Amino acid sequence: MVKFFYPESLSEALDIKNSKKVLPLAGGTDLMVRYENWSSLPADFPSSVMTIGHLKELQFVTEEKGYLCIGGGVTLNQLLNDSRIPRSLALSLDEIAAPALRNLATLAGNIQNASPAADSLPPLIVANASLRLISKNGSRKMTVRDFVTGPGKTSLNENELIESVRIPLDFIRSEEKGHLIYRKVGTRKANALSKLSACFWVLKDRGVIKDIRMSLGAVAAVVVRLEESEEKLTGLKSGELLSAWKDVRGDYEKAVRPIDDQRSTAVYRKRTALKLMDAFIQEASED
Amino acid sequence: MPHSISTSVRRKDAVAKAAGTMEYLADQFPVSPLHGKCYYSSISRGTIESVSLPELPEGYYIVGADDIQGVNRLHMIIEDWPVFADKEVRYLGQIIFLVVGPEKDVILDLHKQIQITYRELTPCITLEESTALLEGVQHGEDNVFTRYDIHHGQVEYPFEKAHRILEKEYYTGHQEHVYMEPQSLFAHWEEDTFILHASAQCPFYIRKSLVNALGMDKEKIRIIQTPTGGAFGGKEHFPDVLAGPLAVAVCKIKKPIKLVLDRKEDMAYSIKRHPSAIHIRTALDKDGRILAHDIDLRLDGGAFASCSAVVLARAVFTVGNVYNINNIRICGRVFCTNKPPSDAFRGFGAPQAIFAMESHMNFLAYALGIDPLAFRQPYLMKQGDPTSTDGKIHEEVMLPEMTRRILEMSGYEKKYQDYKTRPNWGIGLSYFFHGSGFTGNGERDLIKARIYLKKNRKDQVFIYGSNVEMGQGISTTFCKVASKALDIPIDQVHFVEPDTEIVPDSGPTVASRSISVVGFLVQKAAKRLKAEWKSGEDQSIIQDYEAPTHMVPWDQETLTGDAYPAYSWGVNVIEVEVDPLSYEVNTKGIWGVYEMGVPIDRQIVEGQIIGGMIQALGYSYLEKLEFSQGRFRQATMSDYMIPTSMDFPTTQCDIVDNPFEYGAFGAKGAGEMVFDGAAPAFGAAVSQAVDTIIDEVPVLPETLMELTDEGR
Repeated sequence: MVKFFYPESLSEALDIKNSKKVLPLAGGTDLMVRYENWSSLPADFPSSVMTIGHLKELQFVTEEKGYLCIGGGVTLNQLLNDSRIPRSLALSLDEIAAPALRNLATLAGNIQNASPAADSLPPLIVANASLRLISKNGSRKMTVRDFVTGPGKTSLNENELIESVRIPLDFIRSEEKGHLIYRKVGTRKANALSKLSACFWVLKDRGVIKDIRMSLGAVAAVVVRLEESEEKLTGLKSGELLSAWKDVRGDYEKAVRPIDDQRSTAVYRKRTALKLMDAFIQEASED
Repeated sequence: MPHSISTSVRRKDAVAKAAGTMEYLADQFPVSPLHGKCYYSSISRGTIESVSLPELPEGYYIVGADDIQGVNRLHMIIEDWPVFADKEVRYLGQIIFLVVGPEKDVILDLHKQIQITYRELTPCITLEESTALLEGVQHGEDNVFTRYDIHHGQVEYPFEKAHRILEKEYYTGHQEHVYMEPQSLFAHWEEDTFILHASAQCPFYIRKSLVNALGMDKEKIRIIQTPTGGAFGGKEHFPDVLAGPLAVAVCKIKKPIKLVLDRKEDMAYSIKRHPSAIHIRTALDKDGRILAHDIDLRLDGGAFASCSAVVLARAVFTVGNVYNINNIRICGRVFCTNKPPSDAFRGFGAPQAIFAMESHMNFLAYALGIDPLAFRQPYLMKQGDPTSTDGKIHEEVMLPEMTRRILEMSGYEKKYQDYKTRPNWGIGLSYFFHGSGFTGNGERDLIKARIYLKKNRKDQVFIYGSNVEMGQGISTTFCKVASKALDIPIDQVHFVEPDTEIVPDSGPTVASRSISVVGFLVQKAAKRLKAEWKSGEDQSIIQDYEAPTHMVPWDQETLTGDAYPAYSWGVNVIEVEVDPLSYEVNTKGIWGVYEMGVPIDRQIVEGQIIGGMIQALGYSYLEKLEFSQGRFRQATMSDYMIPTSMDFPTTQCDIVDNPFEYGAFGAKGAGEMVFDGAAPAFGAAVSQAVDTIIDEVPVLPETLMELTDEGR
């Protein structure tokens, strides 16, 4: 029998999570669609459900120990109205669905849903963002990168909740000094699910690449980011970038393994992803 | 000088619709009637070998072919669509049972327990598979639902003496209607009468389709129109398909039942626009002049004929488009395939035909190295010119003036030159026309429209007819026509919601006929009422359709004569920029100039224009509907992409007046023509931007990448 839990506090929520199999629901914009039922019937959830979006303890955006910490119950529109978040994240959130949905959907939910096309993931992974996962027994930290393990799959334990998303403040501070490209390729200009998305960022100091990060969404089971390949480009002068890219490009050609589905073709996704990278490297090699 | 009738008034339904207080069928009858849920075939083609039904709790029913009192056929144009699949299944989604009961969760549970064993056959998916009679014939002797051949002038001789012959085939895809309110019906029994409330375009069609299935007198079947949240052709015949099983269930159970499709169900199993493959062969002389066209026009009709014959007729009579070509031969066929049936959709065969001909004109101009606009000019129709069916263009054709206006508005000529050397930018132009009203002798011999005008003692006037308000503004424009003719305020005139028991049959709400044909009857009736007006008395007028006397008589045997009493005309220009990385197309400009006689209410007509063009632009490049393993792959609103206001922020349009003698205050049809021109103009613009001839819609970034990026 499917039950609905509405805890009064975070500790009560963790108690419930510890003792029962419950699906956490904050916003519900993915879950309500996935388990939609015949109209007027309650959603057809596979297990009991616990709503957590209302919990005060998950409603915060604070700076703490070098991180911007975003509570698990914070909605996308709350974040869009917060000038402290990275511009790359703001650009991605602004293109997720429509305002009405962004008023309900949470950042933690977008991560937990673990769709290969989740638009917040490429910028979070470029930012080296991490998560604080909590349970009745304590907490642990994990990068967003490690957290999402496959389509719909995460490292979240049965008794855990996402307490917060944590973005390094030093990335946020240096982001604007670098050159950023965020690009969502959807079918239409608004309210579309991504065919692919890209978040690229390069930081240069006197013509030398200090930091370069490139992530691609919806082109593989998880977001593609190749730190080793990025390192090969780091330390180069702008003028050396194009020829170095020729060697590195093959790494991405191997890693980008999209699927054919109802939204696009594998060929299109792969070619477009690589073309966007080529164009970004071209831009980064100039000036 | 604009006509005074065109001055906009506030729509009669504006406040309720804008405020959200309008109650649609799903909002009505909330007091727990029984609910129905269709049980659909899960295979595309085969026979039903055995059926296992669950034990039914009291008050629950599974209704099927065995419960039909009359014949298991719905009457549309021909009677081939069964109420319930009995032995044979022709498409995934065909209704086999209706599960009925008070509680939805119990209905779902029973639904899950139904087990059917099929003997599966390989379905015909493509036109080629249907032509090859894969796994045997399904309709007639050749899988062809309808064939229309027309022949104007000579064809063999021009092709023999041609200096050059150019040919190409053009393709268009399926399209989903996406009306705002899904298919909805509610039916009950009252004494000896079956009563059905429906969100529909054609209440009398539903009644006609049920007579044989129920084995009942048509007077005992009553259809009542409910407020309708859009239709676009999707509620012309499909309500019949749902009304059949619902009616059988109500007759058996004798209790009220509500049948409302979920959006997903609606998208998966409802009818769609006909896909087309149109091959055009053209004979040219040594100066590049067109001597003759030889056209093979094929439509994918899906599993049942529905109204495919009429869609085919319009496609065949429209494919010549606005050009006077002396010699033209057209072979048109609709094929049976194992997909959800194709049916009416705004434009009704004309958009497919016009996309093909306009794209072909561009192709010819490109191949001959002639400017596409200049290439078209010598062929533009003029008053008195013959049509491809040996009829005649009776009205003054305003295309030269319309061309001047659209060139001014859009800056087409300069941009066209500039974009020859500017990569990724393009601009395209299309001409189109659309016959108002039913094809051929339809209005005179089949529809025979009739309306009533009644006045009560308070001098309030009521318009009775069967044409429905489905968002296009007819409840306002009919009143406007009557009030103007009567010279009384519009508040004194009322539109009566159609109900087959109280309104006469003024025909279906289709074919751009409501204002031009039925509106004219309203005007005539109002004129008569004005002449007889006695204040403070009940008065009523019956007005019947009278065929215009100016027409070349239509012969349905030879398919000759005036296919339509008049045409509306249009020119579109679309400007695009193609992203060189992603091949996404950005629409930079949209312009349209239209001649539709006289617009009855400028704002309502502009609403039709903008809505129609945007819907057609969705058809041009966003609305991909792929068919795979019996289903459409784009099954939800998040995968089937209709345009949003962000995609096309502005549209500029202009209207040229050209009053039509037999239309209400000079009006011709507006509802469909506005859809016809965007796809070819868009295709032409993209063709210039990527320097490749576009021969298919929707134009997908994936296809453009393949076309332009080959060998990478």
